[in-house]
Amino acid sequence: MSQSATANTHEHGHDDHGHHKESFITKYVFSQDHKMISKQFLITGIVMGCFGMLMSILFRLQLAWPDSSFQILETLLGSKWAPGGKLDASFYMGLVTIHGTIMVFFVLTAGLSGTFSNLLIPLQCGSRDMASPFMNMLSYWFFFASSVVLTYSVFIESGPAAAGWTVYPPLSALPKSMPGSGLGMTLWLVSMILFIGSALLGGINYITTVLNMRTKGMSMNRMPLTIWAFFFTAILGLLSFPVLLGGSLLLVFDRSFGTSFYLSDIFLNGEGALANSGGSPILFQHLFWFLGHPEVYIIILPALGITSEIIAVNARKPIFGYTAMVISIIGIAFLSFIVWGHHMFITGMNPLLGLVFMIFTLIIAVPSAVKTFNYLATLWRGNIQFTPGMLFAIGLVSFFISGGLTGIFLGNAAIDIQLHDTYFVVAHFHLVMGCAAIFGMMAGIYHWYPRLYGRTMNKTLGYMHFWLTFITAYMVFFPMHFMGLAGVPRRYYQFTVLPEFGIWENVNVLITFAAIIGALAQLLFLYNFFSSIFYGRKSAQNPWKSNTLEWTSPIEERLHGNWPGAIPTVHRWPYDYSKPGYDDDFIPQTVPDDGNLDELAHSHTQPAEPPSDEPKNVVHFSTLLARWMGLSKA
Amino acid sequence: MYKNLSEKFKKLVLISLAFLAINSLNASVIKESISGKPVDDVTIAAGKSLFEGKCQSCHALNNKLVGPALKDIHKRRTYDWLSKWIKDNEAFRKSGDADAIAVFEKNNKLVMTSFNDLKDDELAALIMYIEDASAGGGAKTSATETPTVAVAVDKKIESRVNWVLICLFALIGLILFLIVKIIEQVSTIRGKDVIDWNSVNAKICLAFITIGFIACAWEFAVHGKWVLPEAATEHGRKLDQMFNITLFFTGIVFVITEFLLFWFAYKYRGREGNKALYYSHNHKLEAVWTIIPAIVLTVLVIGGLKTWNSITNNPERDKNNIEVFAYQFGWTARYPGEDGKLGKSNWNLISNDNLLGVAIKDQAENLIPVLEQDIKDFEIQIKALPTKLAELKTSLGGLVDDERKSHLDKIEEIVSGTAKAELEKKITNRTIQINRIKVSLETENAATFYDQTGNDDIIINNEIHIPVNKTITFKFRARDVIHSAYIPMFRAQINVVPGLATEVVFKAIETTKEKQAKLNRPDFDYWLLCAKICGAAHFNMKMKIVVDTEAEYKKWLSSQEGAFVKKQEMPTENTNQKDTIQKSLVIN
Amino acid sequence: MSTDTSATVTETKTWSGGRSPFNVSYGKLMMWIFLLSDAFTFSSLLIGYGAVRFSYPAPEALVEKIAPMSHLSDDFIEQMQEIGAFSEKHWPSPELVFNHFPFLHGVHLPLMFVSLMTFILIFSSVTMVLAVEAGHRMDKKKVGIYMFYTILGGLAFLGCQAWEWTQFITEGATLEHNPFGPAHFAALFFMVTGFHGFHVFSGVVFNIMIYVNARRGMYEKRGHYEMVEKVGLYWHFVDLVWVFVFTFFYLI
Repeated sequence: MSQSATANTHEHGHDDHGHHKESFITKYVFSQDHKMISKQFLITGIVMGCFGMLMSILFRLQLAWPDSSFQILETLLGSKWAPGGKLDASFYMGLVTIHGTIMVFFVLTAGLSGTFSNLLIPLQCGSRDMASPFMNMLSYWFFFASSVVLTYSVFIESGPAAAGWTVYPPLSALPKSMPGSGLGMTLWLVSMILFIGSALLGGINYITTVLNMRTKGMSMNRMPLTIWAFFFTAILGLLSFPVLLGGSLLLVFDRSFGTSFYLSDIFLNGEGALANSGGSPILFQHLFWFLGHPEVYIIILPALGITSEIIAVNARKPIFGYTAMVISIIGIAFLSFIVWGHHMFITGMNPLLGLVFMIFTLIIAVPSAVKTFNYLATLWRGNIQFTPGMLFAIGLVSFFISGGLTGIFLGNAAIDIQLHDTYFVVAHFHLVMGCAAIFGMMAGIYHWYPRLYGRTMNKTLGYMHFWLTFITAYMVFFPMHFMGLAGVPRRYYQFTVLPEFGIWENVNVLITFAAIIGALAQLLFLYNFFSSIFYGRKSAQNPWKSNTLEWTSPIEERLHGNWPGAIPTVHRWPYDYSKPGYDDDFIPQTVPDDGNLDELAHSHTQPAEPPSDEPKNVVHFSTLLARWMGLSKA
Repeated sequence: MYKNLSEKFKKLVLISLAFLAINSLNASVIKESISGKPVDDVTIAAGKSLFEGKCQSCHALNNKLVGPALKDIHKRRTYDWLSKWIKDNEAFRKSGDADAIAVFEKNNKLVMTSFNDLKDDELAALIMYIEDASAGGGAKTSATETPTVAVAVDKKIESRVNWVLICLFALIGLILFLIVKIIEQVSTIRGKDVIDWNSVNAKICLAFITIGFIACAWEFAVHGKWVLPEAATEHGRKLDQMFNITLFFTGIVFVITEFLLFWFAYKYRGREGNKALYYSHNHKLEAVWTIIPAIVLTVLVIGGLKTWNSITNNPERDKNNIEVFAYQFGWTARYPGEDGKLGKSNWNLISNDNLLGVAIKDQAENLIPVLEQDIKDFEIQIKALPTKLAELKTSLGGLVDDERKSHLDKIEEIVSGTAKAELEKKITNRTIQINRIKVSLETENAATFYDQTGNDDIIINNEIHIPVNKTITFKFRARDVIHSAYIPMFRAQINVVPGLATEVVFKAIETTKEKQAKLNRPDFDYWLLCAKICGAAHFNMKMKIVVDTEAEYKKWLSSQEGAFVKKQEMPTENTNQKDTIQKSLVIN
Repeated sequence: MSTDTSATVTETKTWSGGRSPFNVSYGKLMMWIFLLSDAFTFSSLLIGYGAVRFSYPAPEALVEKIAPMSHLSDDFIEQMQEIGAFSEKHWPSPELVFNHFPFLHGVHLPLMFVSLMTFILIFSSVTMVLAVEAGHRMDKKKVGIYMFYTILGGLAFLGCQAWEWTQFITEGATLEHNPFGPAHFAALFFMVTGFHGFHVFSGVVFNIMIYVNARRGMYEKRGHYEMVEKVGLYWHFVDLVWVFVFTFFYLI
C-alpha cells in the first residue's frame, strides 16, 4: 500500500517535505507551489477585472448621456480621447474591445480556470502538487506578462486595438483603416500569443495531474465534479487555443509581412487600391471561432463544476445525477468543437453548412438543460445553508437559465439573421458569461477562501455583495433583449442613427445607473476580500463540513506538499451528505468503507483480489526494431 | 455624371421637395452666404438633403462625431478653402496648406472622403445650409444633432447630480459598514449568529422571484411594445413566427425553472431539525427530462431548417439584381440600366470618377495615366524628404504643445524611415494596380470583362427604391473592411466582405406609404444599417430604402440617369471639368 | 514513475488512482499532451493552406504538354511564365517548382531534393528509435552514438531546408510575391516550412542538450533514460508533421 504512495511522492524535481529554505522571492513571487500560483492568478484576475469593469462604466456613461460631457472622462483619458469630456468615437471602440478581451480571457479564463484548477486539482485529487510545478509557475508568469502587455496597449498614443474583441480582418489587419489597428493591434496579438502560451502550459499540467496523480482510491468516478469540469476544460483549451495561435500567426504575417491570407480586393480611403489578392477574411473567422466557441465553454464549464460542488455541500445532499453530470460535461465539451459556425451564420456561408451548425448548436442545449435540472433536483428536499458561496451558486443557475434560453433563439440560423450583432446577442452572452460565469468565480472565492487564506470572508458583506450584484446585473442586461428585438445593432457609439432608436435613451440611462451601482457593489467585495486576508476570522479546518479532500489538508500552515504525512487514501465518492443511518450529515471521502458503500446508489462490492491488468511481458517497439536490425540482442 | 448643371440642380430641387414633406420648412435666417450665391429656402433645403446624404455619417453641427462640429465653419474658413477641402482634402493637404494639415492631424489623421463629384452649386447649397443652420434656421435634421444650449445646462446639472450621488453612495456605504460591524459585535457577544441568515436569505429569494416575475412582465409589456413592427417581407413574417414559437417554449421553461429554483431555495432552507434527503439519482426522471427537451429542440430545429431553407434557397434569386456597395462609412446602390444587367467591377478600377470600380473600358484606360502620375508624385515626395526634414527641424523652435508634438512626430517619421517606406509601398501598390489594369485590357477576356453592360448602370447615393411584391436580390460588395448589411424591417442581414460576393433575396410586401399608414407614423421608413464593426463611424452608416408600388418605382427609375453614359459623350464644358478633376486627383 | 520498474502497480486497478492509468510517467504524458496541442496548431495552418489552395484551380494540364526534359535552362521560369504554367490564375504544379538539386545546376529533377530531405528526416527518426532502445538497455555508449546521428540528421535537414529557401528567394519568391504563380503559394510555403523548421531547430537544440547530458552520465545515475524517450517523442512528431507537410504541399 505505502509503496504506491511513495511512488507518488517522488515525482517532483524538488524536495517535498518542506525542508528547503524559501526566500521571499521563491515563496511569493516565483513560487512553484500550486496554492500560491492559484492566488497569483486570482489577484491578477481581480485586478484585470476591475480594469475591465472601469472601462465598461466609461463607455456606459457615453451611451446613457451622449449629449453631455464628463470632466472625469477628460481627466482619465486626456484631451485626445475625450476632448471636452466627450468620449471619442474611435476610442469608444477601443474601450469596448479591451473590455471584451480582458473579461473573456484575463478574468474568466485565467482568473477562473487558472485560480481554481491550480488550487483544487492537486488538493481534491490527493496529490502533493501539480505534475510540473515549474511549468505551472511559467504558466502564471506568461499570464502576467500578457496582462502587462495588454494593459500597456491601452495607453499608447495611437490607441488600443479597437476592432472588437473578435478582431476581424481587414479592419484589424490594416493600420490605416482605423487608428487602433496600428501598434495597439500588434500589442494585442503579442499579448494573446503570450496568453495562449500560458493556457497551454497550464492545461498540459492540469490534464496530466488529473490522469496520473490521483491518490489511491480516487477513481475517476470518485472525483468531485469540479475536477471533471476542470479536466475537460483543459482538454478544450489544449485543442482549441492552438488554432487561434495559427490564425493569429497568419494575421501577424498579413499585418507586417505583406501576405494576403485574409486580405483581398481592398481599396482604402487615403491609400488607394491595395495589392493584396486571393485571401479570405472568412478564413480568419473560422480559425478564430474554432477557438472562440470552445472558449466560452472553457469559461462556463469550471463555473458549472464549482456550482455542482457548492450546491451539493450547502444543500447537504449528493449532487443529483452524478453520472449524467459527467456525461453532460463530456457531451458539452465534444459538441463545443462542432458548433463554431453559429457565430458565422450571416457570413454568406453555404446554407447546408449553416444547417449542420444549427443542428449541433441546438443539440448542445440538451446537456445544458440536464445540468440545470440536476441542480434543481439537488436543491429539492435539501437542507440549504445560505452561505455567500451558495447564494452565488444559486445566482449562477438563474443566470444560466436566462442566458442559456436566449441561446436557443440565436442558435436557430433563421432567427439569427435578425438578431446577429444586435443587443440581443449582447444580452445573451453577458448573462451567461458576464453574470453566470462571474458568479461561479465569486462562489468559488467565497467558498474556498478559507482554503486559500485560512480565514473566512465576512458573511454579511457577502450577502450584501450578492444581492446588490444579482439585482443590478439583471437590471443591466434584461432590457437589452428588447433593444435587440428593436433592431439596435451592437458596438454603436450612440443611438442617433435612426430617430426610432431615441426611445431607448431612458433605458440606457437606467442601465447605466444599474451598472454603476453594480460596479460600486464590487467595492464591498474588494474590501471584504483584501481585509479578510489580514483581519478575517480564522476559519475552522472544514468550515462547510465538506467531504472532499482539500479540507483534510491543514489550513493554517498552507503546507507545501499539502499533507504533513502520507497522502490520504480515498474510500468513497464525495457526495455522502445526509446519508441515512449516520449521525453526521457528511462523510468525508477518506472515511473507510464500512460495508455500507453506496456510491451512485449502486451497491458496490469490492472484489477480493483485483485482477492485475499489467501484461506480463512488456516488449517495446524500439526493442523490436533494434532486434530486427540485429543491433540488439535484448 | 449628369446632363448639365441646371438639370442636376432641378433634380436636387425635386428630391429636396420630397424631403421637405417630411421636414418642415422654416424660413431661412441668413441673408447672404459666403458662397456668393443668392440665399433662398430652396437652395438651403437642397443643401440640407446633401448634408444628410453625404456629411451626416461623420459630422454634426453642434458636436464632434467622427469629424469636427461644423457649426459656424463659414466663420472660420473661406469658401475657397472649404471648396478645396471638401472636394479633395488629400490633394489639398499634399499641396501644403498648413490649415488643412492641422485639421487632419487634429482629427486622429482620419482621412475624409473626397467629394469630387460635387458641382459648384451643390457645394454652395451645402455651405449655405450649414450657414443657415448655424444661425438657428430650419428644423433639426436628425438625431445626430445635440442642441448646444442643452449641453451647457446639462453639464451644470450633471455636476451637481454627480456630487449628490457620490455623497449619497458614500453615506450608504458607511451605513452598510456600520450595520455589518454591529451585527458582528452582537453575534460575537452572543456566541452565535444574531440573525437567522438562512431564513433572511430564503425570504429574499422568495421576494426576488415574485418581484422578478412582475418586473419581467412589466418589461414585456413596456419594452416589449418598442420592438420592431411586423416584418415587411414575406420571409420576415416566417422568421417572426419561428421566433414566437421559440419564445413560447423557452418562456414556459423560463418561468417553471426560475420559479422552482427560488421556491426550492425558500422551501428547503436550512433550519433546526431539518434533514436533507439522500437522493442521488432517478434514471426514469432523468430520461424524461432529457427526452422532452430533445423533442422540443427537434421541433425547433425542423422549424428552423424550413425557415432557413426558404430564405437561403429562394428559386427567384438573381432575377432582379441591385448592387449595394459598402464603404467606410456609407452605402451606394447600383442599378442595372436598360440592359437589365449589372456591369462587372473590380477594386483596381476605383477612382474619384468611378467610385464603385465598374468595368468600363475608357474609365480603365483613363485611370492608368492618373496612377502613373501618382507614382511620379510619390517619387518626387521621396526625393524631397531630406528637404522637408530640414524645414521641419528649423521650424520646430518656438512651437508648443500639440503643434510641437505633431512636428516632432513628423520628424520621427522621416528619420525612422517610415515616411519613405510608406511612400514606396504606395508606389508598389500603384505599379501592381497599373499592371493589373493593363493585363485586364489586353487579355483575351478583355471583351468579356469590359462588355458594355456597365455603361448604362445607375448609381444612387441617397435612397434605394424597390418595387413591392417582387423578389429582389441585393448583391453586396465591400470596398475596404467587413461591413454588415442589416435591414431590420425586412428581417435581412448579411456580411459584406471585401473579396466575397454575398447577397440577400427577399420580397417586400408592404410599401413604405402603406407601412406609414398602418403604423400611423408618417415619418417611418425602412433603413439599411451597418451591423459589423467597421471603424469610427460604424454607428452612423445608413441608407434609406423606399418600397414603391410598381408604377412609382418605374417612374423613379426612369428619372435616374446612368452614371457613365454622358461621360462618353463629354461636351466641351465638361472637358474642363474633367481636367479639373484630373488636376485635383494629383495625389491619391 | 518508470514504466519498467513498477512491480508494485498490480495491486490497484488502472483507473483507481494511485498510479498512472497509461503506465507512463507524468513527464511522458505531458509530452504526449503537448504534441496533441501542437498537432492542432499545425492542423490549423494546413487547413488554412487547404482553404487557400483549393480556392485556385488545379495546376493545368499544361504540365503534360511540356516535353519531358532533363535539362533546366537558365530562363526556365520565364519560359514557364510564357506558356502559362506559372501564372497568377492557378496554383503552380509542385513538379515544376521544386525541381532543382544542389550541385546539379540545370538538371531537372522534380521533387528529388525534397524526397532526399524526407529520407534524411525519417532516417534520423530511425536512429532516434535506436537511441531509445539503447536507453532501455542502459547502454550509455550506444545512446550517445545514435543521438549523435540523429542530431546530424536534424542539422542536415535544416541545411537542406535553408538551401531550398535560398533557391526560392534568389528566384524571386518572397512573402508578397511569387514568380511561380499566386503570391499565396510562396507565402504559405515560407510560413509552413518555416514554422516546421522552427520545430526542427528546437528539436535539434533539445537533442543536443540531452546528448550532452547522456554523455555526462546524468541518466545513468538516474537509472533510466526516459528523457531520451521524451525528446524521441518530440522528434517523431516533427517527422510526422513533415510527412503531412510534404504530402500536402508537394504531392497534392
